[in-house]
Amino acid sequence: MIKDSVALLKAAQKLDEEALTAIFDEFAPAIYKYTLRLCHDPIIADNIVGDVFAQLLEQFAQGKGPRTNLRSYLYQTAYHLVVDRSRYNQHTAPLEIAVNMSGKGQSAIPTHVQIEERVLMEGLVTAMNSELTEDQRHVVILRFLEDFSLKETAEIVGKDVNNIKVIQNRGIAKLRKALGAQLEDE
Amino acid sequence: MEPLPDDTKIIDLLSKLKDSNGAYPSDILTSRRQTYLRQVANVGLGIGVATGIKNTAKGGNGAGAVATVTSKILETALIAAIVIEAGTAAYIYRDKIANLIRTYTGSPNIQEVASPSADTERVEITEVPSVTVTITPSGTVTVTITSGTPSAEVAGDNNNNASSSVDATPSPDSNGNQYGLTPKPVRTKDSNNNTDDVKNNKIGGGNGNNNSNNNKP
Repeated sequence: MIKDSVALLKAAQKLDEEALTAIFDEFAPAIYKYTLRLCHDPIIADNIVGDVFAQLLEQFAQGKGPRTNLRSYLYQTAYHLVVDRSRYNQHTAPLEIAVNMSGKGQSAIPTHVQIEERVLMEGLVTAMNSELTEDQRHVVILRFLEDFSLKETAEIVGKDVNNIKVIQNRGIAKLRKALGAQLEDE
Repeated sequence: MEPLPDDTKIIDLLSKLKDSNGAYPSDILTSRRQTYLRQVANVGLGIGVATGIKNTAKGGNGAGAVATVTSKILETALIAAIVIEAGTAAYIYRDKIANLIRTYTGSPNIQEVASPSADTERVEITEVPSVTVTITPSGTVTVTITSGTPSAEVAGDNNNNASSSVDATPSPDSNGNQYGLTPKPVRTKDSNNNTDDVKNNKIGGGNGNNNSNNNKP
């Protein structure tokens, strides 16, 4: 099993089957989740995952593809595919993402704190889908849900780092304003 | 720029949202993984992934396998049809294609035309290799002319060496200018048959009353 990311990438560039399989196993679930957050459609998210890895294979077969940051490259490809499918503007997000927050260790009957947190999360998801612009929502997802750095986020979105900072701050400000009353109650 | 306390709360909420559901359903993930592994195998075999991309775009679930087989069959049939069609067209238009290739690749032809005289000379040289050697028998040939013309005498030895004899004056039988060997006119009317008169008439200095003198202008 190839563990080092650099060695994994080099082996994948040589079309090593084990490396290519390891890349899929490592990144496919995350790409699916990211795509699902953008397009809100499990079927489309699954198709985009397939396209992302098919493009990756094609790039490797042509001697191209990522040289350093494989994760950022995969997210960038997924983002472009989502944009190409023109599904990005649909903000009919199901709230199951926030509603199904119950963990395995939690009891069947939610406590008062858990209910308040669940309501807060629902409000957050609703505000993300309704209040934020596309760029703001995308930057917030990449920065806080996918844990990308400012530089990586800038690469994926295709904008300057300072521009990403501005977009991020404006998005957070909008979410704070939308959840203001709920945050004060808490 | 320091985040506000409310911003910190929102960021914490977003971090919790990160762990929310949205996981890849296991059955769909398994199907997608199998499709991906087939594509990896195809890349290893040198087959393009474009077909795989199309299949992926068409059906993400189990339908991909059937579509892959169908597309491969169609691809093979198309390639075979193209090859057959190209071969037939090349056979039908083979002459035109050959001319076209000659036009593009061939250098201008320069035809050498030899003159007929040169050919005949060459043929004559090659067709007559024989050498004729004539051996003349030895002997002495003496030509004596009584009229006082100079005589040439060529003598050869008796050996077998090839020797050529050249006469200064050709024989009377041969044609040509035979100065001094013209036959003498025979005077029939003159009963004296004087050879001196004849000689004088021939020279042109005679004083006699013969016919020959009367005939002169």
